[in-house]
Amino acid sequence: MVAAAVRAALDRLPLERALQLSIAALIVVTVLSQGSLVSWVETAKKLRWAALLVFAGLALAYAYARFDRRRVGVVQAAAGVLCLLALASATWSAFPRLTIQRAGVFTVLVVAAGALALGAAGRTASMRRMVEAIVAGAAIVAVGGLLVLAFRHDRAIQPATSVLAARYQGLGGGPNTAMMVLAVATPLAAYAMLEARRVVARALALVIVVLVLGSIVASGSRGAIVGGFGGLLAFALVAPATLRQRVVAGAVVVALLVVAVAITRIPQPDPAAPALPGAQETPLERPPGNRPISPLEPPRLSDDVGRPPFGVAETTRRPRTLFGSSGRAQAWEGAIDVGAQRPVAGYGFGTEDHVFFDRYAAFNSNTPENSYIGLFLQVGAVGLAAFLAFLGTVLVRGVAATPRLADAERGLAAACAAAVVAGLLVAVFQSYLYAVGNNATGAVWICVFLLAGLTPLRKHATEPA
Amino acid sequence: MTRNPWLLGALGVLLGLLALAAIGRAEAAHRGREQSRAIGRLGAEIGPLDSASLDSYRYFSADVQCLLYRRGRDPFALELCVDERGRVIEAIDRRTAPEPRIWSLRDDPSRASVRVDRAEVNRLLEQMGVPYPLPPARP
Repeated sequence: MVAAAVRAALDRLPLERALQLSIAALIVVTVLSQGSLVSWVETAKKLRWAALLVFAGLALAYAYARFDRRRVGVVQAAAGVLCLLALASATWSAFPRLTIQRAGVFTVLVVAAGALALGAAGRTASMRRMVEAIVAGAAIVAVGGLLVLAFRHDRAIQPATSVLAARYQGLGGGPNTAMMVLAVATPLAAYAMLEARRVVARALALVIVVLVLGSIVASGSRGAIVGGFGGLLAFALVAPATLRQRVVAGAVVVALLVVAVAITRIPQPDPAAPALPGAQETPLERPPGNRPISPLEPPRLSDDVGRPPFGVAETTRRPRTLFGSSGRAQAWEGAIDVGAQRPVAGYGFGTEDHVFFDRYAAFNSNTPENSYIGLFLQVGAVGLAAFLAFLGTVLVRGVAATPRLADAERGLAAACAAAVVAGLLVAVFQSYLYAVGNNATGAVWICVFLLAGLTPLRKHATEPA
Repeated sequence: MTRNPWLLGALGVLLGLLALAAIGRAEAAHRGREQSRAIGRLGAEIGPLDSASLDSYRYFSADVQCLLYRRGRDPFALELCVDERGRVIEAIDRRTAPEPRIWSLRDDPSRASVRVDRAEVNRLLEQMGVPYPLPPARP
């Protein structure tokens, strides 16, 4: 009786509205926690965990209010296994406490996203609201970027150097930061635009699509361009009902991509500008000791690999090109070598930035900037295979089932599948799929579970949109 | 004998995780031995810490400092990094630059089995005029 009363009370609460707000807030706060507004970063870092807990609490209440045991199945069990694997890796981690903390937070996110999808399962309109919440979060990030551009121009633009053109970063702490969630949200925004019934709503969604794509193109972030347009292409190929529509939609996306890439090549480096501040290290003052030592400074720690032998001048220019790896190839090779020293089980979940050291002359990051290599480092080949099997199965099954869905569900499932594709493409360029503090992680996992909920193994009754 | 597939699945996952934990710990131990062995080889090649080829230092952090040894024209050819307990947690051979050979237990120093006298490291660093505080030499 008490349980029934609690459920009735929860049913009366505007839970879906609260959930929408919490999803949008989680996205915005995680962007701000790695953002360009330095004075907001520390506060946002604390708030992002509060935002995650609020989201998780609301999602659990939502699932409880609408719980249907028949909808719990293999996907939830498999996600549970991933969380258990992450937590169990504390037993072989070099940093057990860190592993438990990060695996615990990851578990909270996965449980929250799973609960959200369970609560919304069978209600297309509810699922669409969750997708709209992600789009709203991305829209706030994009508009916020423009506000930073208007009022703190220096914070919104990464200045040009002698080898790099100026790049837009908006609300993010770097040109690649906020663009990750914008890339994931791109196909969702396109879906919102196509599904909007009122002219005003459709126009608003169109503005959001233009803002999101415009921000990505202005940033020149190749990962976000590949992710965003890859997601759009997936949406164009999966959502339409007929082959002819798919071909036309796909061609439009490819044409847009060509234009976008051409635009990114317009800004040029400034030959008169200095090199990046990080490329030079302040010389160490060496008070004379009583033992004669080399009058030269040792090489920078982050320049060991790829630096010419002592006495040979570095004459290679490393401009940022369209297909260049920005030093990632070097870092990926090194990270795989480190991972291969513990190949089966890895170093423990959450330890990526503690076991990868940037020793690479052409690279600048504390992670290898590839989620798959990051997973290999953390949970070894077994963990990488488990994550890929889970994500791949949900995606392939979802895409395969989408054509059989009714119109309203098909578009939504295609949008979620496309967002997952975008997330998996961005993961080739960034270490983030398992890092809950990252701005795109929550959106990707929500879409994974929504897609699984829209395309269940067993057919359940679905409420119309 | 149960035929509940969920129970069987849970049992399989549990056994799999137990096996993975055993493998993970074995891998960590194996890596510790391999890296320590290579670090020891480079240390043997360098010889005594205060050898005449000691040419510079690197102040890596408050706990870890490195000694650099000359080979040929390169004053930074070989490097040994020592933590506050005297464990050698990293060794670098730059003679193969631009692809130096690096052996490291920076992420797992408890498995570093090569040790040096931390007091001697401090003495050498002081002789070279290191301007930062050094960790107390603990046994």
